[in-house]
Amino acid sequence: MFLQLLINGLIAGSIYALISSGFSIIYTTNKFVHFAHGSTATVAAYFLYWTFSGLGIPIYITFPLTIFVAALFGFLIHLVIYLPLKKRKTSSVILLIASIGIMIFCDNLMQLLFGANVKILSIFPHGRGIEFLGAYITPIQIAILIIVLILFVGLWTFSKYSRLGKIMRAVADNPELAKTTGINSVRIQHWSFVIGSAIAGLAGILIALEHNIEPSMGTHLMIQGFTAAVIGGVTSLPGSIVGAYVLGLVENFGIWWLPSGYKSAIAFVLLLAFLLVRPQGIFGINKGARE
Amino acid sequence: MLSAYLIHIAIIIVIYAILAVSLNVAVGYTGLLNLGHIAFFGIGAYASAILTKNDVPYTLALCASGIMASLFGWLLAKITAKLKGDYLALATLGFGFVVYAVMLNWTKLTRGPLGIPGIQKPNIFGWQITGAGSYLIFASVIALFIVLIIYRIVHSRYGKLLEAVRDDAIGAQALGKNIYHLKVQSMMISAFFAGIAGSLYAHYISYIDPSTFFLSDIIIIFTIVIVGGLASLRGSIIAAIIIIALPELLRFIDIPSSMIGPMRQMIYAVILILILMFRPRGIFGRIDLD
Amino acid sequence: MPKKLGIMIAGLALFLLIGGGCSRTDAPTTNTSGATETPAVKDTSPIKLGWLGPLTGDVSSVGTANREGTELAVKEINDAGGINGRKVEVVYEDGACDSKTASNAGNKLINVEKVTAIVGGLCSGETLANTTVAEENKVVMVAYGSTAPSLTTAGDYIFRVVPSDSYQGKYAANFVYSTLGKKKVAVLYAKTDYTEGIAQVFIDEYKKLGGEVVLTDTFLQTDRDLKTQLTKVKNSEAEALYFPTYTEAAVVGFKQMKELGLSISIIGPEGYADPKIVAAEGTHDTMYTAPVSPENESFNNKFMAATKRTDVPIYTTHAYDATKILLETIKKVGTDKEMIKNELYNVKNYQGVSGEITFDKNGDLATANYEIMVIKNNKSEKYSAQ
Repeated sequence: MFLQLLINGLIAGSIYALISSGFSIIYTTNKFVHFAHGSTATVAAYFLYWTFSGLGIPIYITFPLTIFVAALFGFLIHLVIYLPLKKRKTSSVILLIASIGIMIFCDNLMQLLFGANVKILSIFPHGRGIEFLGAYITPIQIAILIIVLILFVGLWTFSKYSRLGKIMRAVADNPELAKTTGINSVRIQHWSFVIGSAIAGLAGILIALEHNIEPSMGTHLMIQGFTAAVIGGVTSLPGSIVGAYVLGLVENFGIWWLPSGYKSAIAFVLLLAFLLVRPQGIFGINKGARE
Repeated sequence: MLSAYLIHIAIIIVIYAILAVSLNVAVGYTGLLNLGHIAFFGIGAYASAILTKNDVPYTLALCASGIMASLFGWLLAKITAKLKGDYLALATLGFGFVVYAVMLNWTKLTRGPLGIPGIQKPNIFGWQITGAGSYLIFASVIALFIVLIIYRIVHSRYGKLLEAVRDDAIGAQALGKNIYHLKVQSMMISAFFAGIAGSLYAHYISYIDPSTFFLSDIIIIFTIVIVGGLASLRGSIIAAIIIIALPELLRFIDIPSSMIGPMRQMIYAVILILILMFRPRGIFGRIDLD
Repeated sequence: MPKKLGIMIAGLALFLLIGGGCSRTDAPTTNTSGATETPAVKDTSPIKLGWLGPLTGDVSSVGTANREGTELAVKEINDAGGINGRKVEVVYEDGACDSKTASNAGNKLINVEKVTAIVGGLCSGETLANTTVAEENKVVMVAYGSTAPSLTTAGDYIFRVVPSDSYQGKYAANFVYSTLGKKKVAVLYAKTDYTEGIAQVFIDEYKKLGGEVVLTDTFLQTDRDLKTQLTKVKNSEAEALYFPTYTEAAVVGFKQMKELGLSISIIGPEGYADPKIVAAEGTHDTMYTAPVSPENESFNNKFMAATKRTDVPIYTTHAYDATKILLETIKKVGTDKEMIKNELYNVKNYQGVSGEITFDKNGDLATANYEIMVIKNNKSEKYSAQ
C-alpha cells in the first residue's frame, strides 16, 4: 500500500507540477497571481477535444497546435488586459482580481460552448495498470512522470544557464534596473506568458488524457498549482516542481489517516502554513510577502 | 403591483447589500483583501439554523450568528496579520475553502451535504413572520440598522484610523496606533454583519447546504464592492441592485436554461474586468485599490 | 457623471425588472386560488404545470431524458383533447441537481409562472430546496427521483413516486450480506445529499445484520482522482465495495479501479442505471439496486420512437407517471390546489409504467420493491444468482 500511495502521490504531484511550473514562470516575471492560468489549460484541452474528436485531425498535428494555441491565448490575455492595467501602475491586487474575472469568463465560455458534461478523449486505451512490486501504474501516468522530469531538467538549465532565463530572472528581481541595462521588460514579460502558457497547454493535453475534460478542470488544479509554487518558492522555477511533488505526496499520504473528504482542504492548509511560516517557500528568497 | 417574484429578488438584494457593505469595511476602508468573506456568511447561516432548530429563540440566534462569524473574523485576522497584498488575498481564499470543507465533512454538526432543511421563519418576541412580504420588511429594517451603524463607524475618528491602516500603515504606526488591533477589529466588524446576513438568508430560503457557501460566490460580492467603489457604502448598495437585478433579466429572454447559468457568470466577469480597466474606482469610490 | 450613470443604471434595472415581472403576472393565468370551475363560463386557458430537474450538470443525461418522459405524457393528454377542453402547458426549469439553482428555479415556477403544480425534482437536493415555498403557496410537488429519507416529513404538498432510500439502502445491505455472502464490506461515497443518505442507511443495516464495515471513506463529487481512496479499499480486507456516487465521479472511479487492479465486487444504488455509467469502462460485473419496473415494452417502444433514443434512462417512467397522475387528478377535481393535494392522497394501486403507485399518509410510496441489476459488457441485465 505504501508503494501505491507513493506512486499516487508522484502522479498527482506531476500533474500539479505541470500547472505550477508554467504559473511560476509567469509569476516570477510579472509579480502578480495569474489565476486564469488554469483556464489556459482548460481552453487547451477543449481545443484538443474539438480538433481531434470533433474535426478528426490526427494527433501529430493537434498536439503541437494545441500547445501553440495555449501560448497564444496566454499572450493575448497579457496584451489585451494585463498590459493596459500595468501601464496605469495598478497594484498586483487589481491584477489578481482581473485574473479571477478572466478565469470565470473563460471557464463559463467553455461550458457554454461544450456543455458541462465531462468529455472523454479516447486517444489511448485505458486498462489495468502495469504491476510493479504490488502497485499499479498505467502507461499514460508513466509518460506524465517522464515528461515532468524532462520539464524539470529543462527549466533548471533554462533558468540558470540560458540567456533568456537569466534575463527573466533579472527582470523578476528588479524590472526598473533591468530596463536601464537595455533589457526590454515588456518583451520579457510577453515571453514569460508565451512559455508559461505553452506549458499550460501541455498540461491541458496530459490532464485531458489522464482525467478527462470538464469546464472547471484547470481552475480546480490552480489551487494546488499555486500552493505548489508557494511551497517550492515562487521565485524558483524548479522549486515549483519540487513543491508540486511535496503537495502531491502530502495529500495522498495525508488521507491515509484523515477522511478523504478533507483532501482538497490539505492544499489550503499547507498554503496557509507556508504563507505564515515560510512564505518564500523551500527554495525561494523572501520577496515581500510580509509587512 | 409588486409580484412575489420581485419581493424574492428584493430580499436577495438586501442580503447581498449587507454582505457588500460589510466586506467594504474590511477591503475598502481598512485595505484587507478578504476573498474568504463568504465563509462568515456561511458560519452565520449555519449558526442561526442549528440554534433555531434546537429551540433557541430567534433573536438570540440572530445575535449568535453575528458573534460566531465575528469570532472567525478574529481568527482570520490573527492568522493573516503579517501578510500583505496578494498573499493576504490568497490566504483568505484558503480560509474560505477550509471552512467550506468543514461544513461539508463535520456531518455531526452540519449534516454535511444533506444540509439543514425546514429552517423556520423568525419569531420575534411573539411576532411570527410569515410570508415573503413581511420578511422583506424585516430584512430591510435590519439592513437599514446595519448600514447606519457602519456609516457611523466609518465616518467617525475610528473610521479615519481604519483608513490610515489602509493608506499609510507605517505612518499610523509611527503615531503610536496599534495596527494589528485595528485590523483585527475591522475584520471582526466585517464578519459580524456578514454573519447576520447569513442568518437572514437561512431563514428566508429555509434550506442551506454547504454548496450555498462555496467559494465561487465570493466573486459576486467582490464585483459588487468594486463596481460600487471602495469605501463607499452608497456605492455598495447601488451596485448590489445592479449586479443582482441585471442578470435576472436573462430569465425573461428565451434562452435555454443550460445557458443561463454560465451566461450570468460571464456577465459578472465582464462587468468586473471592464470596471477594473476603465473605472477602477467604481461608480462612487473615492480611492483606488492601493 | 459616472455616479449619475450608476444611479441611472440601477434605476433602469429595477424598472425593467418590475416591467418584466409585472408583464408576466398580467398574462392570463389559470384559476389557482380556490375558485371552483363554473360550468357556465368555459375556461379554455391552458393549464400550467411546472417541471424541475437537472438539465445541466452532473446528472443531466438522466434529467433531459426524464423531461422527455413528461413531454410524452403531456402530448398524449393534449392529443386526446386536453383536460376538459384545456390544453396542458409545462414550464421546464433547470435545477442542475443543486439546491441553490433549484431554489431559484422553484421560486420562478411558483411565483412568476404561477404553475398549478410541479413535477419534480429529480435530485433530493432540488426537491428539498423548494419544500417550504411549495407548502406556503400550496403548490403540489410530485418528485420523480428524490429518494432522501428526509423528504418523508417534508410537508403535506410533497409527494414522490419513488421509494425513500430508507428502503433501498436496507435492500442493498441485505443483498450484499445474505445473497452475496460478503461479511466484510468497504463503503466509499460521495459527499452529496443523496449518496451520503443512502450510504448511512446501508451501513446501519449492514451492521445490524452482523456484517463488518472495514472501511468508510468519502470524496467530493467534483474529485477526479480517487486512486488513494481506492488504494485504501484495496488494502483493507473488504470483500465487496458499496460505492454510492453520481455519474461523473463514478466513471472516473471505475476507470481507476481497473487501473489499480481492484477486483472485488462493486455494488451501487439506482443511479448506476445512468447510461453514461453503464457505458463506462471497468463496470463489468458491477451490481446495483433498482426499483422494480415492470417490463413495459409498449411504453419503451412508444418512448424510443418519440425521442429517437435507443434506451429508456432511469426515472423516465417515473417522470411520465408523476405527470400522468397529476393530470388525471386535475381532470378529476380541477385546478384548485388544495383539492389536488387532497385527491392525491387517494391514489391507490395506480398502474403506472414505473410500477404500482399508492401514496401513504406522508406522500411517500406505500410499498417499495427492488431488484438487483448487473452490468455485463456495458449493458444492464437482471442479476441471477448464477
